[in-house]
Amino acid sequence: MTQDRKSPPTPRLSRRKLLEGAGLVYAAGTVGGLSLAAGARAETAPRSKSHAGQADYDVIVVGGGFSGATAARDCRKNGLRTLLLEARGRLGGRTFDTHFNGRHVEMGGSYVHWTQPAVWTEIVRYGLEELEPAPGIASPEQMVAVVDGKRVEANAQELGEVPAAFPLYFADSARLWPRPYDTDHAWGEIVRHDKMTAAERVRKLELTPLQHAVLVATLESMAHCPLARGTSYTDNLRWWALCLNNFSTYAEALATYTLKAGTGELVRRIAADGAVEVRLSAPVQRIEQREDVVIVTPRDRRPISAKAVILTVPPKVLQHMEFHPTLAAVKLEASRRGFSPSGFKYFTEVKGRVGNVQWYAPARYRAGIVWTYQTLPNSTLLTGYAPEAGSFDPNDEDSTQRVLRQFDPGLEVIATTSYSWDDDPFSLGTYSGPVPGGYSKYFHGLAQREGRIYMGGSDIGDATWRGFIDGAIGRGMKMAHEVSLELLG
Amino acid sequence: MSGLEVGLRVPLLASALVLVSAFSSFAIGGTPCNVARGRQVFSNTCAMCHIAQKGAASAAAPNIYGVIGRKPASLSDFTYSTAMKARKGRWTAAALNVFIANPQVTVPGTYMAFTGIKRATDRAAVICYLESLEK
Repeated sequence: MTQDRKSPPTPRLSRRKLLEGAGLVYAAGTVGGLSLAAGARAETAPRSKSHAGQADYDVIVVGGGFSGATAARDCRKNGLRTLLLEARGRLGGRTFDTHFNGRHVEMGGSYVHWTQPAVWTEIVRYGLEELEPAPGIASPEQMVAVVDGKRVEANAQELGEVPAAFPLYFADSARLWPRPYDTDHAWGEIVRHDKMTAAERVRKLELTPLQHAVLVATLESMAHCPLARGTSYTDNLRWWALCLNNFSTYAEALATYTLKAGTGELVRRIAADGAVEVRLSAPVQRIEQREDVVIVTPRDRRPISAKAVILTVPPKVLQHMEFHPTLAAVKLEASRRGFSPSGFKYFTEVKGRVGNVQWYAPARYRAGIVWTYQTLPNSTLLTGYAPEAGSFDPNDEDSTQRVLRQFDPGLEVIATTSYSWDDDPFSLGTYSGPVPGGYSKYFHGLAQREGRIYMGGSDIGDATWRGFIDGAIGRGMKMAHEVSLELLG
Repeated sequence: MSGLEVGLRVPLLASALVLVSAFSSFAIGGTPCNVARGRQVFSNTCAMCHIAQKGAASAAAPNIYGVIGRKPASLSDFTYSTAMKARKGRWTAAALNVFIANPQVTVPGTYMAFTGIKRATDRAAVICYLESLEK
């Protein structure tokens, strides 16, 4: 237990009121009919007449990724006057589905699975269950790794040996994370192992050179950071525990299935279902808490007031926003130092059909892990996760071809693309792995509510699969519930 | 190309980059316009975020139809970074050529999360393609 841990103030709980509120808005939504966005805005006001006070809204949700969209939808359905502010010109946050050379691709968070309770609920709710499996993971035909600078293709026996390295590495997962959705459940164990790095753990294992290369490259894609920079062993174990401590669920849940409709469709459905009032291109610059209200000021726009704020921006972004009074020191330190730097995801189309490949390169060989995303009539679309930003240029055909030729010397790149999440001021990285020691220092303090500000987002606190689309939705749902209990109680 | 590539990552060399790119832009003038390649580069690279269609709304990024000759940060339906708003002049072909080679170095603080188009011929082609849309 850290000193930062405090229970949130007991909400003025009225489950009955909350449920009544939800029922009424659902009814209004149904009557309001099909034009969700336009119709519902007008319906919002009467719901919280008793709380109207002087605030423009009951809740302002800052950040329109999955966490924010879910939080805003749920608040709105609970009858709260809700505004969602998003900095970019689109919803989705660190998910972004778009087109590359005419193919549908997910430039950010993408993989989903039915073991992920929050995202799967939404997928079912909106009827988007049709999935696209990545053939390189779903039915692999070739495994190549860069071992000591040389290309090594796994033979049949080695293909069987490689997965055995994973349960060795993750052997303590059930001890640290018997309930991976609940960080406090075995908190003592987490604290004891918190400073251990993935590299330290790897060094303790006896592995074949191929097992070593594949494991290291995989761990670097999980942290999205070279192991040499120091990455969290504890958090690696959580991922494995979430995947039911076994290799096949791990591969299936983390890297196989994307939504045929795309993440953008799902996040828009969530927002539309809540008839959420959304303002795009409204980056929030300043958040000021006064005695009975919070004033939120987007850049170049007038201040807006609310009774509560659900903050869902990535932790690294917090340090660049203005807070009055200032945020707790633990949050600011977590924002500056609590999360590892991250690499980049890329898509590369290569000539010909290269088959269903899985390629692995530890950080010094730059490519990271690469697999077949889609087989096309005369070409193959590969996807990769490189652990270090700047290690090569994933938007440059020549640079990418040089790196990928480590796996296939004859490979010819037709086109390649990557979104620089690192350069995007509203994300400042991809997914955010905690630094070693980060759990003990920051976990509870970062998640702690501050006055009228509730901490949402996929990387903060406990909900479901923290760090995934699922965790974003789970945390958004949880924060909406807490705010609703507080304001409707 | 690889020497230039290394240089592009070092902000201190930004001014050197401008010089290098100025030479590239002379090349643009002398190179026949390859609209087909430009369309391809646009589709592979720019279309991820940008639309280039007359009258279309900006979305993830500004609509770049008609960008040649336009003032930076001048569309009313997109919220630009402070850095881009502070940029003077107009988007000439030469200025765009420098910018799209490495947006983060040319306009530090831009919201454009893209490492740039490194092949000078591809930059020339995509600029030429954008110009061709207006004809």
